[in-house]
Amino acid sequence: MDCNEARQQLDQIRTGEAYDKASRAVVEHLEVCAACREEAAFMGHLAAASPKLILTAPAGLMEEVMIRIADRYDVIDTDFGPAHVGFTPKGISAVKLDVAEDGAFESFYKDRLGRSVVRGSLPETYALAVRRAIRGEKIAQPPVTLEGLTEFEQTVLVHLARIPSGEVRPYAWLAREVGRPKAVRAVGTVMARNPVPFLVPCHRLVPSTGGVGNYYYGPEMKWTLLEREGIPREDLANWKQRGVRYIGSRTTGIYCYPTCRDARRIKREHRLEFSSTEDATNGGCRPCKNCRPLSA
Amino acid sequence: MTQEEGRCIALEIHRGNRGAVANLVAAYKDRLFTYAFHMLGGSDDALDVTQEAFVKAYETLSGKYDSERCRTLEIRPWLYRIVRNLALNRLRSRKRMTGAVERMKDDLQEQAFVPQNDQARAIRKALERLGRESRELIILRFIEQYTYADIAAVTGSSESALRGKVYRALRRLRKIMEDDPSGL
Repeated sequence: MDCNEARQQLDQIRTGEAYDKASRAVVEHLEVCAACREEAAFMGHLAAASPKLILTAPAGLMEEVMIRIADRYDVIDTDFGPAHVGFTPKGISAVKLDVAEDGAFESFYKDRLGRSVVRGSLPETYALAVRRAIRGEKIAQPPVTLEGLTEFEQTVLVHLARIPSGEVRPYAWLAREVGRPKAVRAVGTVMARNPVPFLVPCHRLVPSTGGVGNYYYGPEMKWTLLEREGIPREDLANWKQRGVRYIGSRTTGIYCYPTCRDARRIKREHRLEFSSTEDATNGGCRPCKNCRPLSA
Repeated sequence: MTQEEGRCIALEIHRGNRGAVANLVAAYKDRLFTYAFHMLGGSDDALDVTQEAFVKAYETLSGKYDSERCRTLEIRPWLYRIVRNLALNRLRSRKRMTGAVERMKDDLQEQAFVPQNDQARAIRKALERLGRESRELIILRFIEQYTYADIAAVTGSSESALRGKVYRALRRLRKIMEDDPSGL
């Protein structure tokens, strides 16, 4: 064992990290080599004195970090005017059209999501997603975060997001989808309080009786959004007026919600119209597996 | 903070718990600041880098990593790696700046943070004259009391390479301290 070899191992022997056959040779070497004993002593001194070198971080570090990790918001222009958009590293947390002042948005955010929000700069991809949703364009995976909402709200909104662009479903349908068929009103409340409208499409939920029903920003905006997604206003009005709730196909024997993509490609001559699921069943049709119409 | 606590905290941060970030900062701020301080040779960039590291940790845990990744994360060496990368970036960009101004700033900083103990002061003075890599190894090994495996996880060197590197760093440090009569 030479000194060079021994000294490379001294440090780990000192702390007990390594102790094997080679270590025993080092220990034997130490007994005969004064220079290496000195080296070991130096390490010991250094190890004893060093922990005193830990500094205290300057005051204010914690506060600064907490400010810098706060949720952010920015104001962007959209087809519907200026929108306040809140966001976190996880995604967009809030979109709001009807606030005139930043202060109003900040207090809305704190009340709704329980976190404070400070002014920041919205990533371009997020701004684009909001603008596209408002223009009625399809977004494969809306960049939203539902953090801070109740479990029920999260479940409802996650299921809501699965309604394809250009299609609508009744409130009662969503209540059934989330396994709470009687919670139709509760679902309605979740829609009214949806913090990320447009991106999570609460405008695609309508009354079972037809038409578009209520919307946080007024029914006119709901009509517009659905029209932009490709549902003609006349069709919705027409179905409501004539009491058509389902459309079936003579050839496949399947019935759907009228806006279901499968219903839309039924040719005029094969199209059947139903006012209830009993009607449809009596007409020899079974429910579509894509839009899963509610049975009464 | 144990490894298990570290994982819990990572998962909590992933779920959006801002309070967990506060706990993480409280647990590591002094050590990470010390590390950054010595990595940067004692400039006030250390405060910036430490803060930035915590912000980056929050953004990564809550936005980029999935829950599985957070559950298996070794948070301590991970945090040191973040500080290390940020500090190395600083050093690189600082090199491009004029050295004189920076050195002046460093001298001013020194007075603010010198520990009160003579022996510790001697080590600190000697550390400043050590090269960046040697200084980092002495900090991790003796101030932070890392094992060789931990140091390997932070710096990316192998354990066997570290044995030689730490030994050489110690030899240099000892030489500096022996040349200076106010040493150990």
